[in-house]
Amino acid sequence: MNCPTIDELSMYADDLLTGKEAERVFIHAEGCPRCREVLEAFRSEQQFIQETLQDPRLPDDFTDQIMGQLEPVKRPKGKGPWKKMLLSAAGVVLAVGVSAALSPSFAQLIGGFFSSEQADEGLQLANEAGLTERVDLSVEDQGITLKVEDVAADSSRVTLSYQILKNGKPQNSFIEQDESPNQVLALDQNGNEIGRLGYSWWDGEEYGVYEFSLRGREEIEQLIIRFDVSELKGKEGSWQLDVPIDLREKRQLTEAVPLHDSSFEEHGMQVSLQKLEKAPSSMELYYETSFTAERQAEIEEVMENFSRRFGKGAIAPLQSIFSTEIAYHVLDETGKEQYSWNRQEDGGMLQGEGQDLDTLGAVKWVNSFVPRKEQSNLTFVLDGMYATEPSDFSITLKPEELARKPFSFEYEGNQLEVVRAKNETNYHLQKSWKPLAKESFFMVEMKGTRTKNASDLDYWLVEDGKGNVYASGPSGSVVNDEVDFQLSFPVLEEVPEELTLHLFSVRRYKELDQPWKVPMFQE
Amino acid sequence: MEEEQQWVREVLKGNPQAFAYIIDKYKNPLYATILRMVKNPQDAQDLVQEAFLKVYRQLDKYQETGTFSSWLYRVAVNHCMDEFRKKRIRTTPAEFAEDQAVDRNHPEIVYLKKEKQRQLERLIGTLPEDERLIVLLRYANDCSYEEIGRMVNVPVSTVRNKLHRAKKKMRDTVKRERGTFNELSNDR
Repeated sequence: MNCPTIDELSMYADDLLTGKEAERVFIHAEGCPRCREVLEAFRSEQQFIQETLQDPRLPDDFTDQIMGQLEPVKRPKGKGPWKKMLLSAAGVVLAVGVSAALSPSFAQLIGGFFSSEQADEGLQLANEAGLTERVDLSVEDQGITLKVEDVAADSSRVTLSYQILKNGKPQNSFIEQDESPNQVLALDQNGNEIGRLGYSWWDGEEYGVYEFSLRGREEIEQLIIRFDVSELKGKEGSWQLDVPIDLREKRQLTEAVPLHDSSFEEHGMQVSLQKLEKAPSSMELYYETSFTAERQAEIEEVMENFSRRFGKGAIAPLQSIFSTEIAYHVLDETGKEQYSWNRQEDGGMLQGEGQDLDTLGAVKWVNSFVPRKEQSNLTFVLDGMYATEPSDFSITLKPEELARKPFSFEYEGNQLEVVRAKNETNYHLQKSWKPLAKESFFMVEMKGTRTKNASDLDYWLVEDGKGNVYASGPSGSVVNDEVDFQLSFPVLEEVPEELTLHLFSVRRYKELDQPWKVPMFQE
Repeated sequence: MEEEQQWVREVLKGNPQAFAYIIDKYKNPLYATILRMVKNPQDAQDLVQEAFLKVYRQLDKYQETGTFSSWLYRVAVNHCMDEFRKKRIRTTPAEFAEDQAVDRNHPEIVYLKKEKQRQLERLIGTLPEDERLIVLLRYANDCSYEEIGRMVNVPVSTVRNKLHRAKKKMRDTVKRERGTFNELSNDR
């Protein structure tokens, strides 16, 4: 019998032989007990390796640690725009990605392909309105060509598609930007940079797409998208390209529906609608929310009391925490719901931006939506309002006893347990990898369940044995109706035997008794 | 694979909570590989955490062609290896945490197994980085040769050769030390 070598048998066991060779070994092994035994030994070896290597396990709370960083339930303090829910923009891009595989040209791509609810009809409409242009600019270096194909632009956003070619053949379109000198920017006519809305590339696909937001930038008439790439496909070189875009004509396709500051007031809050802008590729609603003057005064008084009780040092930085929001939906002419904001389901939203104004709790909002084909006469319907406002609630517990017996409490629809309250050391993840910075915190963890319109617990205060007061917002997750969040205070030098936690702020939903409706069209 | 794509869609619709399922499914296999590349549990844990955050941020780049696992491993492994190589922290390899479980009926068997496992770990640790990564991706992450090729950017034939070479090396080392490798693994 001509047995295969041990080497060959080993390769067979590892699926390393080609079809014909493998077949030979297989046929031989069928009639050869010795070789079968060897193959069996090799299979056991493989199993052993697999089992051993799959063995080390991560600590139980590993997933939680990551999740805690994904959903910052606490919002940034201070002024400045903050974005909410950029994830819908990704939905837009996924749709484009699907069609990129089938169509050689971006313009055809957005013209031809969208069929699902999630698709970016906006881009399609933009194409139909003649807002896409074949640009065809390219630059070559080191045998690699960067080529810009099409640009779609209207008053709300600019979208550009490009390819990377090597000897005329399209390559994977990814351009490294995170830790690289490469830059792709949009500049207005004064050289100011415009924020990027999104960037997508698809592995194995031929196109990459950049998107820049023009929301609220009515003054921009012309812009340049500048590629400044010095590292491409592993090679160093220079690929610089300026793509000029003229928006003047395109702006004319935007319809602005003034809403005349239509306002509504209830539950100590106010909302005031400014305008609705309908551009072919997106629709924006501009409005402001705030507390009424009386409510503001009440809150300021509560803050005064807190300051006296806990010291100005601890309370002053928390001034900007209070804020207002709304939940609403938009109906079309037939009364069907087309868009929604701040409700559970996907409301056709592209992006939401809120900018804190000077008055306590006042916010200026721009909500953008992917427009549905029927941009008919729309009606705004206010469902409810959210107030992040002061709370007057505290719990007192014994940290030492929590391990044995968690502290239970109930608050406005939340059933919670404090499961730990102690000084701990965590590893601090920084944006780019640096030698580990260990940070210590006084960590409080609460778990439990909540009902549908339960209030969201926001900032808490804790006092140590020496009279120092610290504040922390929660970071954690809500999965279905299960809650799990942590508060991280600075390390408490002296942990009191009986610890009191004060709930400083809470986000409450106030449903309207009667919905408030506003038609958003010119009569 | 269906369930993963559902989770991905959930996250992209604006429910980050669904990402927890993805982490739970892949954290241990990913850690298994990274741990043996960087040889220090703390470093490995941090790299894996960072990798998941990166996966989360880039979730919109995953098209539903090809398996989700190979996409995730590619993003994660590349991230970890990039960072690890960049920094080249010289940490002293730590002992892995000992598994506490003991087979009450045959304690000596568990002991023997631990010995073999320790030896295997050591062998893997002596492999050059490129071979080690391939062995890990194959056995800890169940990746196909094609997937591995795409991840580390080498042709599939090279992947096969390196895997074969790595296993040969490990067996030769064991032979020199004591017995044959498959003898050890047979003996349970």
